[in-house]
Amino acid sequence: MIRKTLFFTLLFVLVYGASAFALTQQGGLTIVSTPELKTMLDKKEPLLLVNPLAPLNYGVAHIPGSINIPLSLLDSELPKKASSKEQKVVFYCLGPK
Amino acid sequence: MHSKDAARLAAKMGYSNVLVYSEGIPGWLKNGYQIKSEITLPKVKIPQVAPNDLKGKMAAGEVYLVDIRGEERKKTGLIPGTNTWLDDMNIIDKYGTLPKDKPLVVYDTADKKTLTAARFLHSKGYTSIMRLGGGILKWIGSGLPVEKITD
Repeated sequence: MIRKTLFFTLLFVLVYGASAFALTQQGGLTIVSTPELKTMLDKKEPLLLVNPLAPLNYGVAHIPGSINIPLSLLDSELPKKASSKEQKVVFYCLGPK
Repeated sequence: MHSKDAARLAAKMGYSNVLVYSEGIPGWLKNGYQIKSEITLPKVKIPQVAPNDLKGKMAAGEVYLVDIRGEERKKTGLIPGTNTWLDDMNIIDKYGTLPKDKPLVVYDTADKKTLTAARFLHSKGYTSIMRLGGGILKWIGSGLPVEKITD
């Protein structure tokens, strides 16, 4: 009986865990939702929120607290802005597509 | 999508904690959160031109076609007859090279960045300006040809 309970508990954890994982992974990338990002920002987590569009697009509209590193300059500029390779970096742009 | 391309590149550069907020600015606004602007462009209406109509206008020599995409243009190719490539990184510095004696049509991948670029150009005196509705993806979807970019 105890083994059965353990088995189903383990199964539940695996299935639930897998579905939660599937929700946040897309093409090998970890996706963050609006409420998750808002919470991170409200909690003042030490993250780097990066808009990788051109300066014109960033200047017209960006999320407060984000910085602009155009995609073509990422190689050279990201190391200057990130405190380490372990720092959380969140990228956003103009939405899907 | 720039955010995903950037995230992939950052991961390749060795960053281990990379996330993508894929809903982006539209998702942020939809949830009622504020955005910040340093550049204010006039909210002028920029007409869209459909792919087949653009084809006709190009054949008649009526428009000057401007590709405003960045490096992503290499993935999809080019609309044959594109007059110039002025990506959104250098549009602020180089818009003066565009002619004023012909209506401009700007295009990108999916018509997401053209409104900002066109409004910027409009603010600089290019008041006869249109954008390709749906971008080059709609052009391709309409069965129209693209040219491979070799540079």
